[in-house]
Amino acid sequence: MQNNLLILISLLIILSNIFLLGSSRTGAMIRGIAFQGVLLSLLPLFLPSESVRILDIIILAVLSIAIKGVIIPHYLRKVTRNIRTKKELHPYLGYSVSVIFGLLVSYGSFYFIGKLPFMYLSISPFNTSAAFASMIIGMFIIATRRNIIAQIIGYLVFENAGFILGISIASSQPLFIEIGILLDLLAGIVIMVVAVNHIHLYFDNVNTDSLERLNK
Amino acid sequence: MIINIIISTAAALVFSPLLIGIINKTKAFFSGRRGSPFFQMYFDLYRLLKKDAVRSGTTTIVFILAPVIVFCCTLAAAVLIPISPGTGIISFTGDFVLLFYLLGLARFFLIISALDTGSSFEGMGASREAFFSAMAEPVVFISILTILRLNGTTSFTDALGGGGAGNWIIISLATVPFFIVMLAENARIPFDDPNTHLELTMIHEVMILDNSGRGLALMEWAASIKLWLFSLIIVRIILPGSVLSFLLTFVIAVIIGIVESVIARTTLLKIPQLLFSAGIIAFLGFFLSFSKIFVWS
Amino acid sequence: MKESSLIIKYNKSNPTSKVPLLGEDVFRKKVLEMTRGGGRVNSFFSAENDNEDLVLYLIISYDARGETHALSMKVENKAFKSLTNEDTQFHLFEREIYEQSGIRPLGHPWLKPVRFPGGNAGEMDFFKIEGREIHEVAVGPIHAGIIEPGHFRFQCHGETVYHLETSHGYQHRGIEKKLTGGPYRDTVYKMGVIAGDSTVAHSTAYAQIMEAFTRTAIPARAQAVRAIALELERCANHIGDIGALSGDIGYLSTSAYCGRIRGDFLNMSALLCGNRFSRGLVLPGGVGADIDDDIREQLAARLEAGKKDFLSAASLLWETPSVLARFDSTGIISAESAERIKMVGPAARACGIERDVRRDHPSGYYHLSYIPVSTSEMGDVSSRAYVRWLEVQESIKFIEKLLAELPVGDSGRETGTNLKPDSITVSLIEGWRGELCHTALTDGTGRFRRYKIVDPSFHNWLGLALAMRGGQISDFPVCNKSFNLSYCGFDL
Repeated sequence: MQNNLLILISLLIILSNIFLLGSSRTGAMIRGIAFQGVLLSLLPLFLPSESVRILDIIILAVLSIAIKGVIIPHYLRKVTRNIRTKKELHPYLGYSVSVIFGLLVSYGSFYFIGKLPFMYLSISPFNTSAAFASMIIGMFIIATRRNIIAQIIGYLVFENAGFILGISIASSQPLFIEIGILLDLLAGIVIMVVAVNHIHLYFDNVNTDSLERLNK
Repeated sequence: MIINIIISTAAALVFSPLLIGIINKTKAFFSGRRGSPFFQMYFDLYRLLKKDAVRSGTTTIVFILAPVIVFCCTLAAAVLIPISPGTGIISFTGDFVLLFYLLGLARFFLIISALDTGSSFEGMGASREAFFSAMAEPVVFISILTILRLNGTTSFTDALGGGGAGNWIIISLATVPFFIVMLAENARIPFDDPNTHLELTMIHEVMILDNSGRGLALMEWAASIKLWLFSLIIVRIILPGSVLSFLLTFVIAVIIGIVESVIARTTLLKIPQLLFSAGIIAFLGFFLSFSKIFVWS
Repeated sequence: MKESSLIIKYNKSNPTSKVPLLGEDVFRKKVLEMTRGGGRVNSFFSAENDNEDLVLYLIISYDARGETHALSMKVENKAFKSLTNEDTQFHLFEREIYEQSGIRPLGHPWLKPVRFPGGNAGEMDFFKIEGREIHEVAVGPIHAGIIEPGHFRFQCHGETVYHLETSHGYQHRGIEKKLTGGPYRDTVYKMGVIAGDSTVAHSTAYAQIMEAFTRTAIPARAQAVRAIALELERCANHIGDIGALSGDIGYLSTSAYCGRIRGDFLNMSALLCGNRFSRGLVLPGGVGADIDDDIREQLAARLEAGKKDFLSAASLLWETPSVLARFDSTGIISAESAERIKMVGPAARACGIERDVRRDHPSGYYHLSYIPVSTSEMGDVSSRAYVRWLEVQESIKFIEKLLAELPVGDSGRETGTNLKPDSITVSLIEGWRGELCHTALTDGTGRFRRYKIVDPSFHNWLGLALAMRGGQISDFPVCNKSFNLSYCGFDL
């Protein structure tokens, strides 16, 4: 049963990745990343109880739901409202191509993760493969999107992958390190949001192509 | 055998208009209206069947025959789906091809009858229908292949009773795209708006603009039977064992109503993209049904 | 050099003799100079003078300076050199002059009547694109919904629209002709139905013309009531439009609720004067119904409730991704095109053009109280809906303010029937669709020699056609609704 739930969560994470790859609106992307954040936060609850303290698990789950599911999406929504990026910016690669890419990467990581030696560490090999797929998809989003909000979301997907991997090797690493990483992430996002506001102030848009040229 | 045929036919004919009533009631509830009665479509069909048909001077025999053919093909396809375990009429390798090609034949006649009227609106509707259904068909087939594989059979009607070995995740990866295609095939939001009066935006409704009286009744009835057929397939995939599982089609109707209430219609340009996403989910399910590390415990 | 155009004083009659009567060459040079300097044509029409010579009158305004100028030109041989090739904004005006007086604008690129003179409705040549794969789609004049009759001719390639031509005249009632020789006793009622949804705007324009000719100064209270009625009209129509837009894309909740809320706002107008469309409220000299304390309280309470309902129903639109995805980038008209054809009203403001008669050429209570101009940038359906959403909120704020500071005094004066002879006056009002311009000329006995009405739809129909270029034909209904132009206001 526990294993089934883990598989379900991993699949939903993969589907939300594909959703992020296929959606053009920042509002929809923010919803997607919030959903993914909440899903991830449930993962610590499945850790084998003999290896970590139950209190640690609960604190981690609650904190990450708050940060990934509520606070960061809230900030992102606020910044999009401020800058009103209404225009869809066309990505360097089309949405359909991105979605096919996501599908192939997800399936590829399912396939290869079974052959890697460290899979015995994880709570489920499925989670590890979802994490690998997320990592690649996160980088892909950062690389192919012009909209700065979409790039931040790509960064978050990447970070989420790290979170899953961290949980996977939790038995050999204290959980408070995870908590520390979470807080770092929050600080990072706040700085990015401030930066986006400034970029918008200077360039009047958030197309990162404008950043190629130095602004006096 | 005969009894099964009679039961399936009767169920399709009797229950299908109710689905439309339930969808409309749900939509009315969400927009704060009272809405038309649950049985409105029965009254409409009764009224239309009593009426004579008016026919444009440019039409030919194709236009006259089309409603009958569309109705019969759709009904025949619906009868193939067993409404409860053990009531299947036929089962052979690749029977789903027969099922969907009966629907294809219905669509073909719908399209040529629309073209027969020579109206520019109906021509546009026909071209849209042909294009979008060509995109929807592969998704259906992939979903069905996944279900067939899970059940280890090559007959769709058998697979509907099999339950897919309880592998819920893959079943849902096959059902969700099927649901999306159902919305597309039955001209529901976000693909088409069954309630609109704007002929330039229509897909399905515009093709039956010239039909009236009995012809229109048969077309409308055929459309509701198609909805019944699709929701019955979904229900039978999800709940294969129960005798009364066909009652769940009404729940499907409520879900359609909710979907239609909370999202807006998409632009025609994005319909291929939407069907494509459905196809991606279907593919994921199909891949996973082969995957070795995917062990359900 | 002598001033070659007359600066019109709003709310005052100006002697017709002071409008410079120029020869064709001088007129042409002067007019092009003015349009290049930012002049916007409000009205351009033909009239006869005492000797039954045909004279073209041009009303042109500078929004930035808040000035309106009038000048005229003597027509010889029933023809003049067309200005359309130099400046697109003359296009429809010249076609209308050709239709109404037979004066031929020489070299006009697409000369044909804008309506159907002589009653042969529907006979019209359309612009055609040649080619095997081009197909033509004809929509109307009878439509599927309950809307006015008008014909649309699309030249399409597949689903893509290459060109749209609109054809009007099915609603032609000959209003301008019937007004000649007036004012009559029924004139004020005719004004209420020029465009049935803009009753207050057109009646106010007419009332201001009458007040100018009879030199009546109307009390501030009457002006405030007019402003309240005008803003209520704006709210009701904008809310109805937002509802209809969401209905067109199958988004039911906003559609159903906005339909009801529109009714609430119409009922507020009914509370003011007994008629949901404010017929008979605005009369020359004042208003037909005063706001007493009881009505004031009721109105404030209903406005508060209506505002709350509207905000919750319409804000759903901006929170639903599928709605935004449908609205965004649909029916885009660029700011350059909009500026070139001089669009007016919310449709122009949705392209980022700050053009609002209430600010640029204020009259009545708008002199005393400022209402901010709401704009958006993209020029698509989404922006047009968004501008409406902003304007409703501004209007409600404005009405609330007015109700709180309602001036004391009586609600009207007698205007009398002695109109100043041989005069011209212009009245500009920002109706909910945009600027409407009434121009009246009196003859020697103080009767109307010519009464010219320009509805905002006259400026904007071309905008709709341009917005459709390169778009999807299936986007036409939602695009049309986002403009929501008047057929009868155009047809007169």
